[in-house]
Amino acid sequence: MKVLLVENDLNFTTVLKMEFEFNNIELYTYSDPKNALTLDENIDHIILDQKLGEYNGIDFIPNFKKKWPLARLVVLTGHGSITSTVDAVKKGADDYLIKPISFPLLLATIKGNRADIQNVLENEEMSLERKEREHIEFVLGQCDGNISKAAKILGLHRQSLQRKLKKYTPK
Amino acid sequence: MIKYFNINTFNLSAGKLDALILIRLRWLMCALLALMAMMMAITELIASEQFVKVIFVLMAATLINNIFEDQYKKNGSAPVSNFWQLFLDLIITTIAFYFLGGIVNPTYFIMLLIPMIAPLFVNFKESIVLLLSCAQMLLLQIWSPYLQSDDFIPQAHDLIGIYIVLFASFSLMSWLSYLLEQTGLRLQNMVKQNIRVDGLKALGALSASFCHELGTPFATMRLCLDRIKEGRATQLDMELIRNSFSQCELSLQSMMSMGLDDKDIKLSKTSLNEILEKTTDNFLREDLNIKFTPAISETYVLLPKIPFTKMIVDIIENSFEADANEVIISLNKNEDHFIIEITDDGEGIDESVLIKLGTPFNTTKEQGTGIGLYNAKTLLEMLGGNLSIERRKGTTRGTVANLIISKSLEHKD
Repeated sequence: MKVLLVENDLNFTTVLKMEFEFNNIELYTYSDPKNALTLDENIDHIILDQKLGEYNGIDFIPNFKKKWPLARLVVLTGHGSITSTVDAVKKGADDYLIKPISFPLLLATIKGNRADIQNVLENEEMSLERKEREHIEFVLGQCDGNISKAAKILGLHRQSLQRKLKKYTPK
Repeated sequence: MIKYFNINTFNLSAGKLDALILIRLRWLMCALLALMAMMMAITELIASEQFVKVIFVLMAATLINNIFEDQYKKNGSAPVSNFWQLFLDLIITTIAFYFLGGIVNPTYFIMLLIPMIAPLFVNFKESIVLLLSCAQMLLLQIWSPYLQSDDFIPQAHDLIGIYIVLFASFSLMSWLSYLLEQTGLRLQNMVKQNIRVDGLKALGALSASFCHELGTPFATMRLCLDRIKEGRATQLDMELIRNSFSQCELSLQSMMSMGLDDKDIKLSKTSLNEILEKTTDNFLREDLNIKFTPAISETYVLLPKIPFTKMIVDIIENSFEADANEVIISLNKNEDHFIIEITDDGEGIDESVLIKLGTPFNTTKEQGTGIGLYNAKTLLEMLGGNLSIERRKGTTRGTVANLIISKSLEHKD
C-alpha cells in the first residue's frame, strides 16, 4: 500500500510520517502539489491538504485523479464548509476530513471501508448511534428497565424503542 | 467590499440637491439672459439704455455667484441657504425682465423655472414662499413700460393662464422631489444593509481562515498525544507539540491584534503629512533610513487615527524585515484620490503573497502572522480606497506599496 501525502505543514507531515512508518505503510510526502504530480509511483491513496500556501488543494484534484485514476483521494481541511465539500466531491474527491483527526480514523477513511470508519468513530465515542444508544440505556436504567415508561420519556413509540433495543442485543 | 463612505450618490443632503448645482445653473441663466439682451439690442427691440441696465444687473449677479462658488469650494457649502439663493435669482430675473419688456417678452417663462425647481433644493414651506413670490413678481412685469405697443397693453388677467401652468408644474415638481427624497432614503438604507452583510461576510472569511490556521497544529498535537498515550512517543513528539503550540499561539496573537475598540475606529480630522512625518520619525531601527517627501501641502482628511498609523507602521516593518536599507514615502494626489507611495529596496515581496493579497494568514515569513496586509487592505477599502503592492520595476530587489484613500474624506477648513 502506497500513500501520497500533499501537506505543507512540516510538523504535521513529520508526525504522519512516523505514524505511517509505525503501520508499515509506504508514504511519499510533498509540500507542493505541482511537485507531487511528478512522482512516478503506483499510488493507492492520496491525502491532499486544502490550504497549500498559495494554492488551493481542491483545484488540483482533477490532476491527481488523472494521474492516478484508481487511487482514493481524501481532502484534509481545517475548515469544513458545505461549499468547499461540494466543490471537492464534484472535482473527484472520494472523501473529506476535517482537522484535527485521529490516525485510525484517517487510515480508515483513506482505505474507504464504511464499516471500519463506523467502528473507529464508535471507538472514539463520536458516533451519533452510540450517543443515542447510551442515552436510551441511561433512561432505561432510570426506569428500572420499564420499556413503556422509557419510551414515554424518550418521546418514542414503545414498538420503535423495542426495535432499537433489538438491534443493540448481540445475535 | 462596498465602500463605507461616498454613499451620497446623488449629492443628496437630507434628500435635497446640492447648492453647487444652483451655482452652476445661475451661470447658465446669466449667460442666457445676457445673450437674449444682446440679441434684442442688435435687433433694436430694446434701447441701448435698457441693454446697459440689464447687463449691469447680470454683472452684479455673476459677481455674487463668483463669491458663492469660491466659498463653496473652500467650505463645501455656499454662504447663504438654497432658499435665499433662489430668492436672489428671482429678484435678478425680475429686474432683468422688467427692462426686457416684462410679459410682452415671450421668454419671461425663465422666471417660472425658479419656483419649479425650488422643491428639489428647499423644503416644502420655503418652496411655497418662492412660488408666491414668483407669482407676485410676475404681476410686477405688467407695469414694464418697455416693448409695449398700442395693440397689446398687458393686464393682470393675461397672467391667469401662466399662473395655472405655474401651479400645476409646481405641484408636479413637489411630487417628484418627494419621490427623490424617498429614493435617497431607500438607497441609504440599502447601503447600511450592505455594510452589515459585508461585515458578516468578512467575519465568515476570517473565521474560516482562522479554523484552517488552527486545524493543522491541533491535528499534529492530537496525533502526538495519541502516540504518548500509546507509549510510542519520542523526544521528537515533544518537539512537534511545542512547535504546533507556537503556531497556535501566533495565530491567536494575530487575531488579538485585530481586535479594535469602537473608539479606535472613530474618524477624526487628521493631517496626512503630520501622521506620515510622525510615523517615520518614531520608527527607529538600526540600518534603516526612512525618507518622507510630500508632494502636496498639508492635507487634512477624516481617518481612524490609530488603525491608520498602525497600518503605516506595519508596512514599514515589512520593509525592515525584508532587509531594506532605505524606505521612501511620498504623498501625492490625483483627481479622486490621495496616494501614499512606500518604496523600499528590500528583498521584494513574495509572488505567492501578491497572488493572495487581501486574504488573512497569507505570509511567507516564519514568524509572520499574515494579518498586517489583510488589515491594511480592509482598512483602505473601508476608506473608499485600495492597497496595491508590486515588485519594483527595473531592479531585482525592492517593493512598492500604494496606499490609496478616497478624496471624499478630505476635510476642508
